[in-house]
Amino acid sequence: MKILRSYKLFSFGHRRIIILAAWFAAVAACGFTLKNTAAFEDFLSGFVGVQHMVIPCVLSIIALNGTLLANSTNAGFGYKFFRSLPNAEKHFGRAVLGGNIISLLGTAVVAAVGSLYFESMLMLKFSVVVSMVFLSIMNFVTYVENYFLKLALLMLTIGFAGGIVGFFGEQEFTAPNAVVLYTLIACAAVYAASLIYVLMNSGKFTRKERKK
Amino acid sequence: MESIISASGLVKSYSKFTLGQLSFSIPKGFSTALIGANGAGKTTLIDILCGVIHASEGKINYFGESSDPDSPAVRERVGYCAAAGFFPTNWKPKNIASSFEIAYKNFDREKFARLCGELGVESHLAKKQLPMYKLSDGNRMRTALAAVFARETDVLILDEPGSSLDPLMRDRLCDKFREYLDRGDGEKSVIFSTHNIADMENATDYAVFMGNGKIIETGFVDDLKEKYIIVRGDPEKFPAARELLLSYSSNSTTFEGLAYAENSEKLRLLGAVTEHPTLQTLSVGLLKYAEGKR
Repeated sequence: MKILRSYKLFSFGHRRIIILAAWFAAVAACGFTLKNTAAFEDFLSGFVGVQHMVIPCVLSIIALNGTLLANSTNAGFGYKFFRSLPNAEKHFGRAVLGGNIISLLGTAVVAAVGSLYFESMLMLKFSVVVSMVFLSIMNFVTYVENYFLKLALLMLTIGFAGGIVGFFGEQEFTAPNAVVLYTLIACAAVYAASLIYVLMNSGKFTRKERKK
Repeated sequence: MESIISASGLVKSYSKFTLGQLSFSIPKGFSTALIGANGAGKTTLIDILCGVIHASEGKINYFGESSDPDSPAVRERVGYCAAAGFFPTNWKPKNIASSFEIAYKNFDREKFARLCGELGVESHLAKKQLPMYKLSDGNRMRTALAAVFARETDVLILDEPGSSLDPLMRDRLCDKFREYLDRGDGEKSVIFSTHNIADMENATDYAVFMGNGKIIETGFVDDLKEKYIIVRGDPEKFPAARELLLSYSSNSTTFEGLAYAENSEKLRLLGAVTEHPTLQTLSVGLLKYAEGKR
């Protein structure tokens, strides 16, 4: 509850989350309508590409970058309010964690929507793996102050997300379960490391900003 | 006299500006104005006092108890409002009310709505609320002041609260300061910055004059009005009087300047006219003096 309250403090993003939810609902409705038709194959390939590009990046940018900007001098507006709050550092750390939870929920929703279409769960596991990798990247670039570098990293994230899906598209359904499982574990570990990194540095970031 | 906030050896260094070293004590139970020209260091000092930025050196003591500007207990007792862009631009009054409620233990939603009404801006109860970026600077400041006044605090620290307000609203703000101080019965204090003291004179008990990152003068307004005099005279008397003036301006018909009151007899003997300054004329004189020493 504290996490959600802190996240709400930094980011009043209901409208964005509602838009994303509506988008998912529309995709799910399209899938149901198209199922058992000739266009369903095309729909699936489109869905796979878009979900990987949209989910990790859009959700993470909304959840993490927005939170960061709220606390940064570069934002120009609002940062004095956030920094003057009691327990400002704790709130910021919790808000970053809240951003991660929202992003993970997004991944879960994608998996849930996808499970409506795919007979093999392998594809969904793959979706989760890709989402976690890119959420990790988002976490690692959260405190990059150079906007050009950050933008470049985000563009690479979006581009690679679509690219990887396209590259492995042929093999994913035939990959052995064990390989997928190990990949999932490895990605979860990387993600955990990124989460620890971003949380450990939230206080340090705030203190550094205050010294500017 | 008991102080609400005191500082010793306070320094904040930037590449092109250094604040300090500052040592001062703000009296408890009064309204204190930080007066200075643009770039004098008022906002930097307020940001340090409110924990927005950290000082490079020095110590601050709050309420005679804590020396940690980041202490949650201190922040609960301080009502702070920045000069511009205090809230994110997309926030509406309902977001402000929610965030104050999350962040502070002592925020009163109903009081916020009432104060918004008194200050003539939309509250969180309004059906259609405009985001901050659609409001004028004055209305943004009114909304922020309503939020700050809706908390139970022991000291208000406000950065240029009157600058964006119209004269009528500045007058109302002065009344609000007085109400706040009266309600505290000597326990509550107000600190605000301004570069235009004329409309806030009624709300000022104690003044801290700043120039070029340093404190030029501090004191109760009544004492300062006794300490200094405004001097006027014919231009032919100016050369003789100039040595006794701290700052001055002259033209072909008259001269006017600021001097210590202890020199009033000498100045009168020179044929100059002396009078007690208003806070406005005192500010102009002292700020000119600081500019001249630069």
